Amino acid sequence: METLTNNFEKKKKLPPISIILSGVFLLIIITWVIFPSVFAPNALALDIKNTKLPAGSEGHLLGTDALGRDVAKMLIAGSSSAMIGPVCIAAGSLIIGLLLGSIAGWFGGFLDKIISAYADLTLSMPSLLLAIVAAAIIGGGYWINVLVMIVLYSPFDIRLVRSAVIQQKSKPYIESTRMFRLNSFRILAVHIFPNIAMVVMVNFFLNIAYGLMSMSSLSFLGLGVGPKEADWGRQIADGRELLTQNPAVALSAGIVIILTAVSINLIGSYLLERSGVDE
Amino acid sequence: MKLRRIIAIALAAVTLFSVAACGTTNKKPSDSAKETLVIGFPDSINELEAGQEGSVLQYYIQQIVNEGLVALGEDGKIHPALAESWEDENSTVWTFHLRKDAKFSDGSLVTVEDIIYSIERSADPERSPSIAYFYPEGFKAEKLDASTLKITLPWAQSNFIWSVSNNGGLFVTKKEWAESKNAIGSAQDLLLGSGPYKIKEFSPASHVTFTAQEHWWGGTPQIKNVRIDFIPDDQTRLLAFKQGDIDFAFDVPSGQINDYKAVSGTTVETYKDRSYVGLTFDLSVKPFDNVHVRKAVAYAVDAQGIIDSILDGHGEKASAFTAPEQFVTVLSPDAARAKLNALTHYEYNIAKAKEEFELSGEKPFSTTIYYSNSNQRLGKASLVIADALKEIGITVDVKETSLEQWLNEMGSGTKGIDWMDYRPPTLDPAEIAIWFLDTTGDGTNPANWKDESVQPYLEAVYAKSSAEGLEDLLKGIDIAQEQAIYAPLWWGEGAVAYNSSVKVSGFSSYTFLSQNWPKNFTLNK
Amino acid sequence: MLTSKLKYIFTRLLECLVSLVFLSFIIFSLLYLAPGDPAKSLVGVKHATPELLAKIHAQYHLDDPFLSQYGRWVKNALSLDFGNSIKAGYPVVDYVAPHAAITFELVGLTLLLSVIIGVWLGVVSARNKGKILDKAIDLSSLAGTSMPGFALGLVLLYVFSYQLGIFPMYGIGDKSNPLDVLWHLTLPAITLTIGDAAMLIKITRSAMLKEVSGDYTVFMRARALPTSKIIRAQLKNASPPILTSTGLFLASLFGANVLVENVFSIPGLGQLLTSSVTFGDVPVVQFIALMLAVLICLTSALVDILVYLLNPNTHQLSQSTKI
Repeated sequence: METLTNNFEKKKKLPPISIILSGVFLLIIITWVIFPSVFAPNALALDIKNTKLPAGSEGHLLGTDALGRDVAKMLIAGSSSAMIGPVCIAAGSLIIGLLLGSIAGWFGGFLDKIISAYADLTLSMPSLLLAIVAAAIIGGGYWINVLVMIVLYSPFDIRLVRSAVIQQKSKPYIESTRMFRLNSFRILAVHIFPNIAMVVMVNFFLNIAYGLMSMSSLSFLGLGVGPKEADWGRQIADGRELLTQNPAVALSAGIVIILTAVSINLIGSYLLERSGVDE
Repeated sequence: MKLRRIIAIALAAVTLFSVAACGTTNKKPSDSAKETLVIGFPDSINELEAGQEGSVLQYYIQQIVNEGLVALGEDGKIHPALAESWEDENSTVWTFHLRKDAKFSDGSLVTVEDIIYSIERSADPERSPSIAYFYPEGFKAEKLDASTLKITLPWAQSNFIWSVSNNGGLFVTKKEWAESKNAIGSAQDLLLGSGPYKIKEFSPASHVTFTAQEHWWGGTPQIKNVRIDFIPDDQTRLLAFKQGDIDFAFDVPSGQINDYKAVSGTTVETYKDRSYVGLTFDLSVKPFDNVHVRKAVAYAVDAQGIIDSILDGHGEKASAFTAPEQFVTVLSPDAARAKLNALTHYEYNIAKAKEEFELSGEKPFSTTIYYSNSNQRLGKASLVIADALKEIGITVDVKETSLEQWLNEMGSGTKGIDWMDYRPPTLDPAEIAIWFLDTTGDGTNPANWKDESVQPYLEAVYAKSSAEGLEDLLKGIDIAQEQAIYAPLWWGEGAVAYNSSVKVSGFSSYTFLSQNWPKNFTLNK
Repeated sequence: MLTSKLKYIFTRLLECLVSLVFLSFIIFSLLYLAPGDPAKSLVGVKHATPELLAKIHAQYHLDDPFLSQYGRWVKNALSLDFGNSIKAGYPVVDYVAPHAAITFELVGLTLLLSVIIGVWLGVVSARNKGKILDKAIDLSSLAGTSMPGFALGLVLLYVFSYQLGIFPMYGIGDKSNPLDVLWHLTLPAITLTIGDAAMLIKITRSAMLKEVSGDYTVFMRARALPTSKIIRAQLKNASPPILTSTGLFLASLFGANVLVENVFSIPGLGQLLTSSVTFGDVPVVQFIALMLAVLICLTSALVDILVYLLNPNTHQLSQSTKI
């Protein structure tokens, strides 16, 4: 009871300042992702005459890296590899989750057993470790990592959707639609999905944050994007050896990763609270 | 109530933990009487035997623990070790007269049987996969009497003496001991040898400690204890040095030289490390079968630019695929440098590069350069090369792979342009050439180069001594470079840093490969 | 009641066993399909003659068909013979043991710290629901979950070991002195704990909130029992989800551990596993995977038993949460 009224009150209020700041920060990142060439033209141009310039050097706000590339521009250019992969991971995992989760939840029986067994098995495994091993065996690469992550992330979505579908299935209004022999797909699409959309969307959001952290971890280990591309995780790894000459290389990328993940998480948990779903 | 017990246990653990914290902070390495030399290496190993993996760090370790028949001296020349003297007939039959007073660290005498056993152990590819090649198929080692050993080779091999040194393929151990152990080189079964030190403790991928042993024929060494810490991460190693955790840092990366210098009381020494870095073209990959394409690439690479920016000036532009210092047994480095600079090579010239590419008649194409993740410098250099080749119409993608994958695919017909970064473990001037110039079969050289004309020179190098075969060697190198099979970029320069608690005399590229190398260090009390 | 629980635990272990076989098969096939030849890495490209390679292939049966290789491995593994490491040439168990010891110590320390800090802050947070303290804990735990271990580790290393000199810089110290090793593992454990405890705070908080409004709490309050006693009772009832998720964190810790070991130059399993994978040292990779899987299985069974012993009346079965 108490939580219900609480939620009701919250809905009338403006979001807290931390949520607004997170939103603004994410908007900035998103504009970087969409218009990289506007904010950072020729971000990857080498300049071997001006390497390892410290932050604050003329024309280079955050200095340059070991190849003379402008760190600030690299940071902006790196936003797309930092964000696009995680969004694809979250989306891929969402699609698989919706598909397998609703099949398992709706039809039950043997299909449910197999799908649930797969989900349980994968969930009990250390996903980051498996991703590292898989990436090392296959030899890494950005899109391969995205695929591996989708495989490892989807079980959670499957479970989420499955239990939501089962929960909705037993409700009287669904029982009645079944009596009318409506086709399963229609019932799922029209009657069930709208009811679980919020949970699934919140999870989609949180998956982006996890994806960002996992992908940058792999890049840090040298299993992600190639050296030609800009990428935050890679930038931290490369910046480690420049810690004394230009600490901005590693620090700026580290800070941006942490801020982005915090912002996404803040907004995600705020949405979760507002949706009234019990954790 | 059970929960209470759990909490109690947890609290007890925390208390213990805090005690540990207090107990050890004060116990920093006791500097009161400095008896241990602590060296930080940028590499890491999980087992000690050089015969298994053959990493250079294993060679440094076995160098002071196990002896060969001969050893390398500080002067770069071969010196007696377990053999007091030796002679050869036509480089085919080798006779060694053994030292009678050599003892293993357990006090037992080194016998001919032990030596023959160790040679056979080295020649067995199952036990010693990385050094078995030192012993040609059909060689024979036999005992003549209690202190004489005869080795018969199937063909003449003038450089065979390196094979029976502990820089090549011989680490004498005790037969009886070795046969009773099944995990030699692991943390349980440490090495047993007759060298100046014995291993006290080995913690895989972390450190190894040595103590001087009293039974060595050369007398008990001055420095009592030596500890080698494996710190692969450059940044961590620098920080460890700053904190005084290590006395001596080996292979300081050029980019950190100034950071090391900034630590008070530090001496940084640079030296030519004999390594060769260059490009290898795989002739089985089109269009690199076209000599003009190869020349175009060779002309397009600004080696000096890479040295200045990526190596911070620490490297020397190379004119051949062997460094001048590699000739130390036959020539002074300056004399060797003059001879090497006279060989055919292609200096950076973008106009000529374009001209050659036009001559080749090839259309603009794209290729990929791979580099190993253990060598990030080459990754950066690859990006610079890619940038330069864009200008002449070659699009280059740069990819990072694991060291194993990179090595596995070397010369496999998949990489048109490949890196070669090699530091010879021995001081044989022909060490790289006998690999690069061997055109006798598939995959005998990394370029899939098949040209009979170079073989007579290589055969002469095998048959003659290093000094007599020098001109043949240089001619062979010249033929390969004239055809731009290999494009030399730079000869490496190494740097070491040490703090005021140690003194080092005359550090060189082979200090850690020389007999009883800790004698080059003095600890300041 | 007890027998049904035992049956449940038994089924869980059986399921676990099946997944073990499944996992080892997948890893084996991935490594089989992976490019590269460990024999070539061992001999070195420079001297890899076909004869030499053939001898090493025969020694490790590298040319046998896939199923016969896998069959041999399973057969030997059943008699606890895991073969020799291809890279080191001696038995896998001896090869892995020193690394495993370090990682288990680090993981154990982390688990201990996370449980203590996570549960403590979770309880504090729940008892101060809605107050500024609760919000502060919430925000910092959120930040904790958002920090990739490697980035955090680098910052901690730089600040606490280098700038302040409080902690050792690298490695594991003197192995013969357990206290010294513990001391070297402290900062890495703290790094791992920050991400881990954050999750536990959240779970403890929500589990405790349910108990705070429970009937017995009201009853105990009315009887004016000491707060410590009330918290203890609440914590006991809230323990199932806390224990279950702690068990699950153990699995995720082995992943995060790889990065932290990398940052702090700790010679643990992470370093060994990645290098063995790239080398193609199949026996070593298989053994590590098997060992971790057994450990994770046993832990989840142990958690189930613990949950049962603490609250025999509740039907709280294992619930996996996001790893």
